[in-house]
Parts: sequence; structure tokens; C-alpha cells
Amino acid sequence: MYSEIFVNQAPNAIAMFDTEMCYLAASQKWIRDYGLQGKEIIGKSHYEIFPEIGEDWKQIHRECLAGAINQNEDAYFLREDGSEQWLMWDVRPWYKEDGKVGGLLMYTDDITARKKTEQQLLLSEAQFRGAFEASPNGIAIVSLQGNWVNVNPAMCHILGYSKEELMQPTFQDITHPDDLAPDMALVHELLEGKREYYHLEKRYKHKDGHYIWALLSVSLVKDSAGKPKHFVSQVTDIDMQRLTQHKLEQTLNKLEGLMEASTQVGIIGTDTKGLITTYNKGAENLLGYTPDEMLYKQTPQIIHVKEEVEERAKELKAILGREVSGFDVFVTLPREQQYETREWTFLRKDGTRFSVQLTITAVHENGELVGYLGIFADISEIKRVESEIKSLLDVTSDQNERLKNFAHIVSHNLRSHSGNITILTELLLEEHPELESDEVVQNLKLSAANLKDTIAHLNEVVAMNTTVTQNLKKLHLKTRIDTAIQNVKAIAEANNVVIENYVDDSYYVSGIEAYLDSIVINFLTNGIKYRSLQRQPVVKINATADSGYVTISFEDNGIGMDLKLVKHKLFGMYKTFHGNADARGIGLFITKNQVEALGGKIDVESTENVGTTFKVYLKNENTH
Amino acid sequence: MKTRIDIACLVDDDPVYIFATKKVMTMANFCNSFLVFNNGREALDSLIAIMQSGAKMPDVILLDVNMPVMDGWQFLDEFIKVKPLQKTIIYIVTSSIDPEDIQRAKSYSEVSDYIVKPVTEKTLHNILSDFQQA
Repeated sequence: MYSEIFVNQAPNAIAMFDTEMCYLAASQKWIRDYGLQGKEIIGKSHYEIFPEIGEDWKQIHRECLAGAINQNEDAYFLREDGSEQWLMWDVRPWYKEDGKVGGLLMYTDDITARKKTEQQLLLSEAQFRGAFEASPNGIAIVSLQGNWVNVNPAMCHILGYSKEELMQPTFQDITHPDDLAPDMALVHELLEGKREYYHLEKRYKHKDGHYIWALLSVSLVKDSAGKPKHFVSQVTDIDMQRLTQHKLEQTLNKLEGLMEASTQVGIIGTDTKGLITTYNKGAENLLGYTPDEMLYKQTPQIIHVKEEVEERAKELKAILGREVSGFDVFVTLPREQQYETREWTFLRKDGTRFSVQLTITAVHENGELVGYLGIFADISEIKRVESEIKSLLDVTSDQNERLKNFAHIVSHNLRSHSGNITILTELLLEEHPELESDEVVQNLKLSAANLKDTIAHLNEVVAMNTTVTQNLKKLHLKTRIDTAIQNVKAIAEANNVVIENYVDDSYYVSGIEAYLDSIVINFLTNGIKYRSLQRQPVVKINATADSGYVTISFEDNGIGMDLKLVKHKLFGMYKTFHGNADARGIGLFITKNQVEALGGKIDVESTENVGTTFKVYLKNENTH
Repeated sequence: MKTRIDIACLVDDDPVYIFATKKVMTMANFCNSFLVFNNGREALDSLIAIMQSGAKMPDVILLDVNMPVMDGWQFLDEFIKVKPLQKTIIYIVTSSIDPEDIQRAKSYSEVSDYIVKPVTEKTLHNILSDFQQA
């Protein structure tokens, strides 16, 4: 019978019974599942084979023989030995051709293993969820296309987004452009099965826009068929770590760079006893010893001049009141005051000597002295220049001294003689009034007066300080100019010159009254002296100001000058350009010096036969 | 009209100055007689001798600063120590316009004024009015 073969060979546990509950057929699996191997069961009653079957089941069987179907998806049994078992079954009648019940079909399956796996899965899912939500590390499930499938709160926190916001961009969007390529390469290796997982330090773009360093660990989750399903990415914020590390690297690089790049600065490190442990390129260049000759073999004493060290030892004994010798001569003070800078003479390998400035620093690690660092530079050249400057200074101060003497001679001796000549000329004329008309005597008188003036001017020049900044005062410009106008009023009127002061009341300049008065008077008298006889002479004074300077302009309509010819010597000593009788070339020289002493400058514009404008720039005091 | 003074004393090493100043003094009708010394030492020795002899001391001394042997300052220091009984008015008369010298002259209470050479009739008239007020 085919149905019997069908039942017999079915992969599940199936048995077929007649209406008396006697076995018609049973599958191999049924026989295995119920431990019936080797027993003859066909034709025998189910209850005979399993006498323990209770009334409840017999009742179910009777109901099913009457047409009912009894099913259970997962029935739980706790066996007497304490083991657990889950069963599923299906009990239903089978019908003969005439439509009457022929007996029962029973199908059972032991689903204990599946149930246990299911339970485990549920448990591990709960565990994963807990870990996922509570983990301090960012965890994300990322699709194979790079879209976020799920992200945990830590991930959101690290990147600064809310969960909803973070789900929008792909991880590529928030990865630093420089880090994308290596990340993608590793993703491909994962997908190609070349690796199980990868770690990568990369930068993510925080919502704020700045990048943060993170340690990314990615593994690929595959389905039961081994097909890639999704990535699990774990992200640890290592921004602080990375920053610190980065700084440390930078510092180390710098230090190393310094050590090696400084070819003219020697760096020698020693341990606490003086043994050389560091010896840079600069030291090698300057001293001629190679690192091989020095490192872990020598102490710095080899490059020092013995007498100099002994001399220093004596000095230290005087300072410290105790014997200091050997390597301690160099490091006693650095040890006590952190560092010491001194000039020393160093010995090269070839025996030649050179001057250095050496700074020795005590090096501590975690508060403990671990050695010393000596940094030195060749100062021979500086020494040479220094002595050159010193000799120049000697020459200069010598010259200064002579200049002072000269000033003294001008001030005193020349004045005595000039005074005598003046008074003698006057006496001569008083005693011999008839000589007043003598041309020689007239010229003598003029010469005596000129000599007196000249000496007075020279005195002004000599007495003038080049810098007077400490005496500067805030001066009201208009008042000073009005005062100066009063001073020259007599000669202005005598020469019919109109002086107009247009200077605004609000201007203040930095200066010294005497200097400012002298400057203004000089320009006014200049304007009067060099007036044009062909028109009404006018001198106009104006002022403008910017933040730095007040510019005072003295504009006349006089005879003017050809600046192309005279500008370079205009402010020189004893230059006059007009053949004017009382031209006094010293005036502009002194004025220029006074203006400069006040921190200002002078400019001039002039056209022959039109007039001259002098501009004086003085420091603006309004802004101070 | 101002009364002239009795004895004027000139202490200076410059003969031209002495010559000219004496002439100006005469013309200005400044004094009855002159005492002239060529340096501080000469002046000091002579004046001490005059003082000790009880003779008349000069009313005014016009004292130069820069002189050989003993300069004006040294003379002043020594002369002050002698403490003359009669009042003598001392003027520093010099070509120097060095502010340091002017300052130094002011530091002596015995010095009436600082006169810059040359000495003119006007200078002498000023001295005369000082003298009369004193």
C-alpha cells in the first residue's frame, strides 16, 4: 500500500492508526523519536505500547475518531528527570473511500531544540538592545549602502545630532574627506571577505561643523547563508586623546627637528653623572667630534678648557662656600636654580678654541632629576663685532668729547674775543667820533657785529638737544602763533607785511614753548624778509590736522625760490639764497633741528616770483 | 645822577678785556679807582693783605671764571672763608653762557649777579643802581 510506504518514509514523526488505535504504519522518525527500534508495532495497540498514556489523551483520541482535529504548536513538558521538552502535534482522523473514519493520523515533532534556540535568541536580543542603548560607545547599524539603519544614543551624543537628524546623512556625508578613502577601502575588504572587521581612527564632522577624532570598529553581519546583511559600527570618541597625541607628536617633531636642523646650535644632553646621552648635528659641526665618539663615552669635560673650569670652581667655592669639582662645576647652579647661562671657551677636536654661550638646564621627569641639557652657540663672531662696536663707541665718545671742547671754545673763548672787539670798536668810535664816516671802521663795526651774531648762532646749535621728548608739553597752537606775531609785529609793520592767522582754536601740538615760538618767528621773519616789492606782502598761517600730526603752513607771496637749485641745501647751516642783506642761513637750519627735536618734520613748496609755503608737521596732541 | 662807587676790582686774565672794561668804566664814571688782578690767586692774596692791613676793600668785584692758577670758583670758595668785615659785592663776569656755570653762580649767596661779557656802559649803570639800593 502506497500510503503505508508514504507514512513509513515521511521525514517527520507520523503514525497511522485504525479505529482501535492499532498501528497501521509509522515513519522511521516516529520509531526513532519514541525509542521503538526493533519492536514489532504494526497491528499492536498504541496503548499497549505506551501503557502510560492517560485518560485525557484517550479522550482526545476518541474525539478525533469522531471527527475532531487536535493540534498543539508548542506544548511544554517537564519530565520526571527535570529535563524540559517542547512538543508540537497534530492528531486528526483519516477517512475511507466510503467517507467513514478509518482511524487516526498522528503527527508529532520534538521542538525542544528550536524552542531553546528561540528563547536564547530572545534573550540575546534583549541583551543586545540593552547594550546598544546604554553603551558609552557609539553603535550604529549601517546598511550595505552606507545608510544608517539604527544608531544608539551615544552615537548621537558623539556626533551632536538627534537620532532623527543623524539618520538623514550617510556616514560618507559626515566623514572627513581625507578619511573617506581609507574607510571605503576597508569597507570593500570587509564585503569581499578579506577581513572580519576593521579598526580605523578617523574624523567625523560634528553637527557644529568641527571635526572630531573617533576610533571606528566595524564588523560585517552576515545572514545564515553567509550573505552580508549589514555593518555594525562602533565609534569611540578619542578626540581629546587624539588632540593630546597630536600635540605630543608635534612637540616631539619640533624637538627632533630642532635637534637635527640646528646646525649652528649645539645641544648636548647628559645623565646625572655627566655621561653624554644626546649629541646633535650642531654640536658635531661646532666641535668636530662625531656622535659615535661622544655618546655614552664622554662627559662634557672633554670640550672644556681645564683652566677655565678650575677658575669657575674657585668662583663657585666663593659663592657656595664649599668645594665643587669635576662635572659639578657645570651643573651645581643649574641644579639649584633650574638653569645657568655663561660664556665659556670650548675646545674643538682639532684643539682650536672658540667662545660659546652655554645654557645648562636641569631636566626633571616626574619631579625627579634625570640629567642635564646643555645648549650652546658659537659667539666668536658676536664677540668680534662687540669689540668692534666698542672701539667705534670709543671713537665716537672721543669725538663727542672733542665736540664738547669745541662747543666750550666757541662758547667761551671766541665770545671773549668777539666781545672785546665789539667793545673796542665802540670805544674807538666814542673817542674818535670823526671815524664814524670812515669806511674801514664802518666795516670793522659790521664785522664785529656779524662775528657776535655768528657765535650766538653757533651757540644755539651746540646747545640744542637732539631729543627733548621728556620735556614736551601740550601747547595751544593759536596762542603760540599769536604770541609770535606780536614778537615780529614791529618789523612786519615797518615792512608793510600783513600777517594773517587762520589757525583753528581747537588745535594742540606737542612741543616746547621756546622751540615752537622760535620756529614760528623764524618762518614769519622769513616771510617778511623775502617779501616781494611788487605786491602787498601777505603771510598766511593755516593749520590742518590728522590723527598723527598737525600741519601748520606758512604761505607767503614773496619772491620765492627755485627749489630745483636750492632744496638740497635749504636747511643746511649757513646757506642763503637771496643775496639779501640780513639773510641768515642759520635760521632754517636751527628751525629744522628744532622741529625734528619735537618729533616733527618740515616740507617746502616754492615758485619763483609767486611765493613760498613752508609746512611744519608737529605731533597732534588732541588725540592724546 | 648816580653816585659812583669808590673802588672797583677786576679779576681777569684777559688784558684786552681789562683795557676795554677800564675804559668803559672811566667813561661811565663808574668808580674812583681800580684794583686789577690777573688771576684768582693774585686777587685772593692781595685782598687778604688789604683786609689784614685794615685798608679799604673794593666795593665791587667783577670776577672772571676761567683763569689760570686759581679760577673764579676757587677764588670764591677761599674768599668766603676769610669772611671780610666790609661788604663787597661780587659779580661773575664771563663769556660763558653755559647754563651749568649760570646755575653754579646762583648757588653762591655772595654772588649778586651773572654778567655775560662784554661789559658795557649799560651793564655798569645797572650795577650802580644795584649798589645804591644795597
